[in-house]
Amino acid sequence: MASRDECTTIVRQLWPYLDGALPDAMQARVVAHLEGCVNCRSHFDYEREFLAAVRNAGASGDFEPLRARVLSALADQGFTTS
Amino acid sequence: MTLASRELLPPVVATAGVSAPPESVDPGRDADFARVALPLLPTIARVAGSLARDRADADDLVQETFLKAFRHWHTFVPGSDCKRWLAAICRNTFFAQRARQRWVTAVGDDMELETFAAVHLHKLARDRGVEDVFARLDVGPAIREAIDALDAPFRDVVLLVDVEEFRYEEAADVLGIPVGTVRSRLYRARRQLQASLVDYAFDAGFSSVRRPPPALTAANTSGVPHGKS
Repeated sequence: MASRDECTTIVRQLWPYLDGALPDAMQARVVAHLEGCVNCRSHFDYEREFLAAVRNAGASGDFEPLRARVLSALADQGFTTS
Repeated sequence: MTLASRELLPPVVATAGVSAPPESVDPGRDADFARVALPLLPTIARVAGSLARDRADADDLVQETFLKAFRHWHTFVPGSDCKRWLAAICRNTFFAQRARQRWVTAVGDDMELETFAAVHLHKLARDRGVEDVFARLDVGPAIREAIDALDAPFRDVVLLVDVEEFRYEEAADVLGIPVGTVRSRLYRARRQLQASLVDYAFDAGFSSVRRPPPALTAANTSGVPHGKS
């Protein structure tokens, strides 16, 4: 069973781990710990789902008017779409 | 501007007074630009939105960015990171056009505290029976509303890192702030968003936890079945 101290150390790395910002050695340490610690894995899974929800929510948006404007300006510069 | 950030500038914006290239005879230029650069318009729109404080100014900045990128497309190295290249053009165009208001935001540097706060919020969500809210509920509108409610410095880092998937260093380059500031603002913003989501899900009735029954008292236990007079 993982020690409480190790869980504390791993949880400190939660955001950098999910952001892919950990050095390789710590990345490997987190992965190994999560394989054996249900409690920490539940925290990481929840936060991973949260970040996916934020990414999906923020990715929506109507950019067509702006895209049309940019294409028109580019066309004035000689840009053509075949 | 630090030496490191200057090294990240695309050559076209690192050289003052560069003249426009002669008309390209490469028929594939426009097709390459359309294929590689134009799909990044939403991304650059968000970058511009994080720099300019006004929607109209942001749209102007996007247009100018793509015009510059098109004029200097011959300097883009095929296969390299076009998102980063365009973001650098956008940022440098912004700084060339106007002075940037420096945000003075009292941001605590305790990223560790914010990380543990996230764990606490997970436990809170579990206790309130809304832990599986992402699977059971379309939280998109609530998240968008919560992002819009964030103060601008926090909203900017969320849009760049969590939505557009910039790395910490790339977001720092775009915003002109230290990487540590990106991380601390980002972690705090995430905590605020999570707290909003937990409240939203619980208040909207999506809790899987039944409200506890009223406490048993002498008045409601005098031989009368619970709930009936």
